[in-house]
Amino acid sequence: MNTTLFYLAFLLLSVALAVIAFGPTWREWRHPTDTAALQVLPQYTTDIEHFSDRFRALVQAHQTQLPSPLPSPPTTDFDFAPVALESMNWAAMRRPLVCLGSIKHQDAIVCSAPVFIHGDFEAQPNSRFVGLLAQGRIWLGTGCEVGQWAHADASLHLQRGCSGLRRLSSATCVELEADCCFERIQAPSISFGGDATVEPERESHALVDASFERLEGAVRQSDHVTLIRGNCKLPRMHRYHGSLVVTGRLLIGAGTEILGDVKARDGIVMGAGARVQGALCSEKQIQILDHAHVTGPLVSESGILLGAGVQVGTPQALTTVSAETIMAEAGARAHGTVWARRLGIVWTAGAVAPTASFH
Amino acid sequence: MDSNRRGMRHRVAAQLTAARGLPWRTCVAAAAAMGGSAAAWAALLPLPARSTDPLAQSWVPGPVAHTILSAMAVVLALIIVVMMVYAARHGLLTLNRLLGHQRHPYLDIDQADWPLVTVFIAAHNEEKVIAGCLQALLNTNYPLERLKVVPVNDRSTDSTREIIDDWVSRFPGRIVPFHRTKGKPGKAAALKDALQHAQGDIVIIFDADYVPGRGLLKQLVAPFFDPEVGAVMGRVVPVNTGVNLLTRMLDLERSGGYQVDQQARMNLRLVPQYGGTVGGVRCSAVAAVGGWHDDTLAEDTDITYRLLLNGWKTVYTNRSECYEEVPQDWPVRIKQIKRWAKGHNQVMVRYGLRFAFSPYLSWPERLDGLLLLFVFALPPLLLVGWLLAIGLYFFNAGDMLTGLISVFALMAYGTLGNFAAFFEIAVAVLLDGKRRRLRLLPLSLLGFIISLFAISSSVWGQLMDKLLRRDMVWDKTVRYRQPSVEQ
Repeated sequence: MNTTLFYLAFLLLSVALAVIAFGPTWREWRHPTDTAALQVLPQYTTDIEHFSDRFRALVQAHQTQLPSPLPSPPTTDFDFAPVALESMNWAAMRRPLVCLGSIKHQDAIVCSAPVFIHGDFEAQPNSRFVGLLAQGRIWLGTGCEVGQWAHADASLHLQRGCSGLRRLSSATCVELEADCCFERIQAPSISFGGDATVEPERESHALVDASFERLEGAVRQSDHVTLIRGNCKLPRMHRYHGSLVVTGRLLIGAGTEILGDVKARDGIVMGAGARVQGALCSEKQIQILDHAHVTGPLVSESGILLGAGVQVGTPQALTTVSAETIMAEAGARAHGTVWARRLGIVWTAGAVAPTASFH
Repeated sequence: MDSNRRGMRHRVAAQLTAARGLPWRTCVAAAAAMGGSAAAWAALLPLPARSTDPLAQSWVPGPVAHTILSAMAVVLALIIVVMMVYAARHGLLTLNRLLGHQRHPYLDIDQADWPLVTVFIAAHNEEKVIAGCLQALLNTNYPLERLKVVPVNDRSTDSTREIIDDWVSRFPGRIVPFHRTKGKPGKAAALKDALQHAQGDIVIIFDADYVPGRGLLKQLVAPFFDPEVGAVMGRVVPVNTGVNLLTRMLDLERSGGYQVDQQARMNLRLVPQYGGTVGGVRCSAVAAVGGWHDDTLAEDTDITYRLLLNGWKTVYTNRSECYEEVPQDWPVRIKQIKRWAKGHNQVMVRYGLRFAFSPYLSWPERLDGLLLLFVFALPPLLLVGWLLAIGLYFFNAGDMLTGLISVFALMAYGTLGNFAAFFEIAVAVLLDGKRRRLRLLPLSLLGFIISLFAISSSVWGQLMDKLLRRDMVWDKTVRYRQPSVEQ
């Protein structure tokens, strides 16, 4: 009897639990409230200039009194900067601000609304902005901070200790002095900490032609790709044709040139003056020593350390540098996009010990 | 006399088994030790002097039957262990997706010296959808001079050919058609022929019902800068979600499969699967591993495993999303899943053993790859498990533990499903920000049960195909979209 009761109770409990679960199910089935397909944006790209382009379109629509190409915000939501800027209360601005000429303010500015400048813009040290769009050049003094984005149709220059927390872009070049922090930068030319020391003369005829397949443990994967299981050390001043995959760590000797793509899962150290005419990828840290060149893209799932005089990409062939953290020594240069997911910083040799805290 | 005593012992043992759930062998041994006296046992234990269980009285297993029952129990236990392994796997993947580090290593590549790419659009009687796909590809931000669009018109009998030719005449030089009028039927065979017309080392493949976004091609090509990558897979998103209950349930399943399952495998460096569309392959890698096979119903799974076996990697990019149509009718859905099951199992038989011992793969990769390969063999296994549980129940009536095994098995299946577990689906839908559609989740059980029988039937059919040496047939999935205005 007890067993029967137990089974009956168990059955009733099971049915009750099932019915409870199916109650909302029944309602959602008979009276659907959530049937839309997941949104896939047809125009979605990773274009870094998205925000500045959007802002520019809004301003232009406002100025020409044309209907806005974008749904929001309304085109009337703009303020215009007065002629006498000294009397202006920047901090009180809540709506996007349009300045009809170049600006060179005498004091630090703190503005929480995006600013559109018809000309050049020069900010004094310790200024803070949410968004900046200039049709000329932008020059930010020491310790300035850009909260969301800044774009200059001419050059964009950040003096020492500036912080560009989100997106910095320029149609020509972005220059960051030492101790600047960044996340995403896009420009045909991006220079970190000024010019590098002069690159040593390269003796291309001294390179020795070599083959990956002669390396220890090499396995030919395809006509172009060679796989090496374990660590690999390429001697200095050699030239290799084809792509290389290393399951361990890779050391590329100084001056050595690789005409192909390179991947090493556990990290890469690229010797001074070495060249990779292709992509350089790793799941761990990539360290590129002075005056080495990478055509790109340069991708690490950990960190990238760019030495002085390192060049990534060329003005004719823009590329991408991407990692969780990027440390660029003064004198490094990139062409295209530099994207540090967590943080990027420009440092000068001797000022900090970069490898101590760099994983 | 001896036979009477043995019979008495067995009856006592049966009573013990029924009342106490003790193992049969133990009970027989105990009964023998006590002299087999039912009265003595009745005195010792609070058992009724005469069992009320008719089976225990009427049938006592002999040694052979006992061996069979033991074997059944062992097999059932193994099946439950396999189910639990899958449940654990789903749990691990889901927790990783929730709490782990998310890998999108190539997503940031937005500027590069982009390689020459050929985009194949697999089309067989696709007059309703082909124009939309072509239009979307012409709007992409991939450098035009590096892009070749090739609609692969595979023996279409509707107006697909005319529509493609019209687009070719409107955009000369940008679209290069490949009209296939003969040859082996099926997508794999068509793509194999089309590969001869590819330019460059990278081939991206879409089905004709897909509508790629503006930046999608760059996102799918970017991982190929890594020379280790042989194939790339993006995420497919059902576009006809709201049509009926089936499409809504498939939307949930797709979310679980991509948002959680594929991304977690990417995070954990396991085996992200190339899915045959919204993805691409490196031609030189495919050539190096034996070329494109047209004798398979799942050419995507086939190529995934051959690449992995030979040291190449596959990459999943969760943010590279593209709309697709999902089946709106149960018969179409059942046909689709049967085809997947056959193709998948074909790959399992071909490469399973080699995969287990491949020197190029880590142990986690091997384990995950084998579990993935085995996924379409689970439903028949589960059916066998149910039958065993029912059999054991009736042959050991009164044994509560045995009785509950079938419940455990059902719960196991409800927990893990054949492809996307409930937990996995729930987390995926929450990650997608669509909380309310989760109310339909209990109905997934219905879908799983239908899949269970469909896949089991497919496996049976596959065995028959093998025995009778029949060719496997490609069943095209029906399209529902109305012709687009661009036509």
